[in-house]
Amino acid sequence: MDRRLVAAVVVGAGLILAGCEYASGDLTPPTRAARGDLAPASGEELYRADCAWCHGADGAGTGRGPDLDGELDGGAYTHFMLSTGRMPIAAVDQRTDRREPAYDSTELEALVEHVVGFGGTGPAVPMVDPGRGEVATGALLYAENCAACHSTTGVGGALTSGQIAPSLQRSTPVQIAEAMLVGPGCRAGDPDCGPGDGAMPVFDDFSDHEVDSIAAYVRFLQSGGDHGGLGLGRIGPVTEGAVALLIGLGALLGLIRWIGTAVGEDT
Amino acid sequence: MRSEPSKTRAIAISFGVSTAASVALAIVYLMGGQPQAEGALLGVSLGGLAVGFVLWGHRLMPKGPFTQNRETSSGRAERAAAVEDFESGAESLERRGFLRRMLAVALAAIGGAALFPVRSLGSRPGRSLYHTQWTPGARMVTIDDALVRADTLEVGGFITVFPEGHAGSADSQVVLLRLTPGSYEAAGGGAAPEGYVAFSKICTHAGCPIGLYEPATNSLFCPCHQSVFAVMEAAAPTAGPATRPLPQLPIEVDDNGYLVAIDDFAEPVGPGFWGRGR
Amino acid sequence: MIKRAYDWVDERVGASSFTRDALNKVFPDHWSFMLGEIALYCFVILVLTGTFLAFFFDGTTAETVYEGSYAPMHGQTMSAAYASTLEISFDVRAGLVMRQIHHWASLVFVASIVAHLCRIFFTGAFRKPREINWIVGVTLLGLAMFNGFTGYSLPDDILSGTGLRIAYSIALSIPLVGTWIAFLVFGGEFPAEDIIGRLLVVHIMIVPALIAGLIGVHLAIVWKQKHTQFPEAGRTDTNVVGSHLWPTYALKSTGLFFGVFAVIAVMGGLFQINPVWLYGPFEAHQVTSPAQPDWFLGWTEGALRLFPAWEIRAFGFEIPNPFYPAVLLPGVTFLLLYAWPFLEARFTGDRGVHHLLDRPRDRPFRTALGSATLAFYVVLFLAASNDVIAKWLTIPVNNLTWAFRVLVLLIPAVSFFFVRRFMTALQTSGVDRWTEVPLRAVIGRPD
Repeated sequence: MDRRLVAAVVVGAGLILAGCEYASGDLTPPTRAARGDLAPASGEELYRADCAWCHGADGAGTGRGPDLDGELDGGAYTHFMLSTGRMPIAAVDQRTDRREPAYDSTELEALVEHVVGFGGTGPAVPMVDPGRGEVATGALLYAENCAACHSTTGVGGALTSGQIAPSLQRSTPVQIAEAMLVGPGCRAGDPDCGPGDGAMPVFDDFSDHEVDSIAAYVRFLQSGGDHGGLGLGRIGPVTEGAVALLIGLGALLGLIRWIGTAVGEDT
Repeated sequence: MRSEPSKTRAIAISFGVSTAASVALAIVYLMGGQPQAEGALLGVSLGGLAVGFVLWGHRLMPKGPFTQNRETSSGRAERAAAVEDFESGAESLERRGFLRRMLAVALAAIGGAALFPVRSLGSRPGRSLYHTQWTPGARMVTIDDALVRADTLEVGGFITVFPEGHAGSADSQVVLLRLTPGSYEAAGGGAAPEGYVAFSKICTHAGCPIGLYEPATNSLFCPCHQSVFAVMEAAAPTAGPATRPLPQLPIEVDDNGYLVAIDDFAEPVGPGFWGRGR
Repeated sequence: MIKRAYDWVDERVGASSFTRDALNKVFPDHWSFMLGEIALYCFVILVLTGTFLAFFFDGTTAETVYEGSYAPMHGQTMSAAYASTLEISFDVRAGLVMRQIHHWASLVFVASIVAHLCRIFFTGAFRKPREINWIVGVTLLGLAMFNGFTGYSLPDDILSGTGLRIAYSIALSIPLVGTWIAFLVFGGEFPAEDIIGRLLVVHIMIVPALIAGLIGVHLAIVWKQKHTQFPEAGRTDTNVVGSHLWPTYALKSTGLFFGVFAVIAVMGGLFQINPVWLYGPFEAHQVTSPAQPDWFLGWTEGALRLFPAWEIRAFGFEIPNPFYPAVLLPGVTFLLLYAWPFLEARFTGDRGVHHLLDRPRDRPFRTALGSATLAFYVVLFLAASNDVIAKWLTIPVNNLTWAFRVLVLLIPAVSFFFVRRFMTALQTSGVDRWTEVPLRAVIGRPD
């Protein structure tokens, strides 16, 4: 019984760890570098190699992916998807979660320029300077508009149907502004990706100063705020309860086991 | 069996460590304090005392175990005598039935009167749950008192609005969404002027603000108990414990391009209560 | 010197006979008998840290503009309750560690009460003559949970404010008198501004006084009846075997107090809890996700999430959906808890006096029933974090909710079956340690 119990615990722990690994999903994108071609390439070459098979030769879309010349498409949306590593994806129904970007900054710029050339009427890559914004203003705007989905603590949350509002822990100011402008998160395999098709609403009725301030507040959330010690994932009472039960009560159970006797022991 | 000096040494060390931690804690405090240092040092200082006491109890105390007898509960005679003592004292009350009844009535009356301050605790519910601050023609404003125009939101946009003059009013909070113009009517819904629809933001399950909107599925999602409301079906609940759709606010665009309410909601907003349908 | 002081007092109160009884009183030493003491010492810690906090906390919803040192809130209008909580956290020396110790202690307080209750249950310590103490104990559990809820609602932040909104709606859902109860308790339509001030009075005065009084009764009864003990060598139904109160037990118990305080102090300094500055002040139209109550209300929250979209409606009247998981379920739960000693006495026909405890294996049915019941509440508790789990595993929340609806019925049934077999196998195999039971006896045919 002893050995089997230990085996069961080890297998269980292994399963949990495997689940964590799977869920944390740092999947490798299909980059040209991964395929072994390291010579510098133009935007057109990159597009043809990595994007055209889903998005069409001139960004007109195919059965596998939406067009890139529509109402929302342009610098902002393209830059957002590429710089957060959400694109390119290897399979049509792969989740578009944040990953390491597949391209360096030169390639990224070239690709964005190429896609802009398809004629989409969406916003351009925005200029954001959190230094010009005010953290206090940003805090108010964030609480009013962002906290419900992305959590007051910026760790994100679940939406319906398996979608999530992602953590903002690694979002750059430009990415924040871009997401607000286009409302990203089209469903995988969705042929349309225009206004109102994203998981995130469109928040484009904000002044530059307001966007700067929101970016400033998100930057604050990323770097500070955990004055009480370990943040425990900033999830709230769920993790706090787990710590109280497992670590708090657990330690105290150990303590009283040490202080007291068990059946059969002497005082 | 440990020798006497080694037994005492561990205890002495514990108390010594505790003392050092307490001194360090005082220094941290004098220098302005720091939560992690305070907690850790307090923990060590208390822990040192804890270890010292327990070790003392384990090692240097008279070796047990010791035995003691339990007494039985009060003997039958004692119990009967107690009852008799009570009853003999109660004799003077026993034969005064009329006085006892008058006393009972007086106590009941003062008890009842003493409950009346409870009524001062709050206003009567009345019809307050049946109405919000929305009135016919009330213009929509954001929390910052900015009027909402027909061009404020893009398709896929989402904002919380209130009646003008009542920004922040809890029962009047409304989610304003902009759908693709024509799509709401095409799905069988009512009017959606320029694609705008407005619903009460208060979840009909337990009253949380429904702060999550997913344009891709046109769902409003309540974070408290995961009720999902399908916007295209007039915010009918499609998942979770909510049983009623979100009341819809009838709206239109006025001559100056502002979004206004046509009337208050047709039913009470928020979660259910006993006489809700009356 | 102690002798002179004692003489001085005793010449005036003459309590030497009681003092001698007390000093020599024997207490059994089993480690599981200290679970209640952990709870007691948590209460002491709560009172000590709570008193400190009460000197700085301003428990009203009166609006004020924040001028303290937490930059992101600077210049924001907020309630005095929230502003004073920020002040405690950032501008009062040792304020944050006191706040965090206080909150961690409240979580461990309820946890230790539950652990203690389980120990009492599984060893049959609630049987005659200890039914009164069981009732006192269950009441203490309810009061501790209630004070935890009122306590974390005091800072008036978005997360706890959402919890108050749900509590208001639960009150509304009570048939006939629900609207009156909600309006009278809160002081009007939500968000009634009086509620924070009222919660303060309840939290620092009324409930702690009740808890302190009931703890006194609880300990007095244990003192009078003497503690139970396990049936081992030298222990009978008419004696108590262990250590004297003075000096051994007193020293070890003092050590336990410092140990409990030490663990909670370390948690208070190193583990952040309830960072209300990140949550933001309560606004009735704002919300955050994920949104859960503190752990001890997880079972009610899980019930609210799992209970299907049913409600009763007729003739314009209704008993709304939250009533069943949040009023009926807790009501039945506490009713059954209170009634258990009497229910068991009736079922088993055993109305005798017991001072010797059962080992869980001696009562397979009771142990299995208790395990199944515990499993039920644990599944509900886990269901309260369904959105957190769903995000972590990137699966649809709704699917997880359905899975939990199945599990909440399946797991208790399965655990009843297996625990009963396990206890019976422990009994018949005669082994001493539960890890030595042959697995076959549990999952296969019993020998």
